[in-house]
Amino acid sequence: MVETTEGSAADTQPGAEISAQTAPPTGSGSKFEAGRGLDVGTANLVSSIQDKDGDVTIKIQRNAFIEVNADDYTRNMLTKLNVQYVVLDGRMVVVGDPAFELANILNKETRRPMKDGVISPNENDAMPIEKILLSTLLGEPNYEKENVYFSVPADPIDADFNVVYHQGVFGSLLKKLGYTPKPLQEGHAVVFSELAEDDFTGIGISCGGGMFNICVAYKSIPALGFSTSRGGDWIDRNVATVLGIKASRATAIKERGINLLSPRDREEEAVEIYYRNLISYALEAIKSRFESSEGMPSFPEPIEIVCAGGTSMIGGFIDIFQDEFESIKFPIEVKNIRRAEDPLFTVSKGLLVASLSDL
Amino acid sequence: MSQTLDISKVIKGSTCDVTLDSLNKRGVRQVKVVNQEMISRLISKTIDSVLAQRTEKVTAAEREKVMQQAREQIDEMAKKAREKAQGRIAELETEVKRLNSRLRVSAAEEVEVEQLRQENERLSEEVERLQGEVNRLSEAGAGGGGMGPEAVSRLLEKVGAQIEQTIAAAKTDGDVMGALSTLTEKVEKIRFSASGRATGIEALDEATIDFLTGGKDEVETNLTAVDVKQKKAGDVKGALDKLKQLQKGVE
Repeated sequence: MVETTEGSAADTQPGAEISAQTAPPTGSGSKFEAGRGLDVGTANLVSSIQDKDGDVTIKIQRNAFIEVNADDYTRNMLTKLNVQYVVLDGRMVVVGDPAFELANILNKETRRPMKDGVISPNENDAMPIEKILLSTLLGEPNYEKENVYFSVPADPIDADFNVVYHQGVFGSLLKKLGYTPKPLQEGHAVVFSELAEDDFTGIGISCGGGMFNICVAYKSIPALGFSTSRGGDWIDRNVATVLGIKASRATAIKERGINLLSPRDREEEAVEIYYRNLISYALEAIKSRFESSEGMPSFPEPIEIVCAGGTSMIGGFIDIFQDEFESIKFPIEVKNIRRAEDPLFTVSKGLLVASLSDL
Repeated sequence: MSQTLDISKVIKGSTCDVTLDSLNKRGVRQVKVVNQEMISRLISKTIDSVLAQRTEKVTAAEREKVMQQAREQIDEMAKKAREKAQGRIAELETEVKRLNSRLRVSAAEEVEVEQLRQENERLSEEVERLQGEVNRLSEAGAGGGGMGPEAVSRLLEKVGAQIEQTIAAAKTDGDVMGALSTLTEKVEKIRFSASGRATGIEALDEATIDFLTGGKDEVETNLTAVDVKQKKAGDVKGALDKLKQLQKGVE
């Protein structure tokens, strides 16, 4: 994987007024194919696009923000430090990855536009921030009413809410940016991205920050889709509580390169304990959902399980998943459990596949 | 729970009874007799003496030092707990302020909705009253109760004019009804967004999205001057070809 940067209007002055409204798009001469993928995750927003040579470019923003003092010095320094900010009602807000880094330095909590997989009901600034983050990730459409497939969670089996409002909000935001929004379940996107070799048959699991999303597919058709309402944030909250630290700090500990099979200190042990608990919880929920489902396909051959998403990236995740899997009597014969090739980008790439094939 | 040492029991358990004959046979001619009570007293005295010596080793200064350390630890713990509580209180106060400002907006709109609702009720009552008047006159006309045809006709004309006025007013208030309906929807949507739980809305209209996103297309930002993290992430050609092939097969 090669890291690149793209100078997007880098000559614009800091603090300049910009329009979030898109200009009329033109497809002619674009070096990109028509169609985008957008993973709307609780922890990260990831967009993907394919150029005419077939290469995929990913843009990623942490779905978080933090308020800082609004003065001219800070304005200038933030721009010099390559830190994104927005001024909302006179309040200066740092968005994306720098917000997370700043929160850890200042020992503060980041604010999060999304919670438990959907737009946060407790965050007043959620919508304006999401609108801004989406515009930085997607920019203007390259083609008139270009398709953008965006991820939505499946209805949870262990919580009393649905995703209709969340889907409506993001659909409307994307429409306002000039795109034709098309929702697709996260788990289904994992199937599109990772199970081509199996004729898109198997189980795709997106292990995200807010939820685990599961899709059972047969030849690309989703037979069953649902979610469980615990994810990486649940681990962060619990680790933060037992260690007496901020959740943002717990996230940083989790992401610093831990191997769950060999925790090195008390902090890593806490992470390992909650990871194991989370995986066990998710597998039990999946098992019980499968056992109670009348519409479950009976597969002619053992199937593959693929885990994607940021929460699956930690070292030892698949080993613990396998451990826990073996301890339960799973109702479907499984030939292999593996992690996706690029766990953080899997959902976005799956959405891109759906978009380019325009289902 | 502390245990009391029963010295008598210990002595009994550690000794055995021997007859004088047996001692005699062993060649013992004389024995020194010590009273069991005396032994108990001696042991108790020894223990008390040891304990007294040990207690004397903890000087008053040391006791004070230990007390001081304990006080400092307690003060430190109390300070941390106080700071934590104050931090939490500050967070909650900010949250309360934010919610209050939001509530104020909702409350103002609800007042407006309520005023419009009352106006609507007043107009409905007026229409109802006039309708009642028409009915009463019709019945009077049908019964021929002392009123001549001309008088009835005049009255009907008068009532008709009043109804037309009311209808005209209602038409003007059509905007009011529209506004009432829009505002009601808006308030419901705000309530809905605050709860974060869907009740069947599938898409939000542009006005609602504008309202929820702050309604501004232009904001002060440096986002265009800062690079968003970007990566090349291989390709999706294999998956795409397979999917297209599968779709073709299915078709």
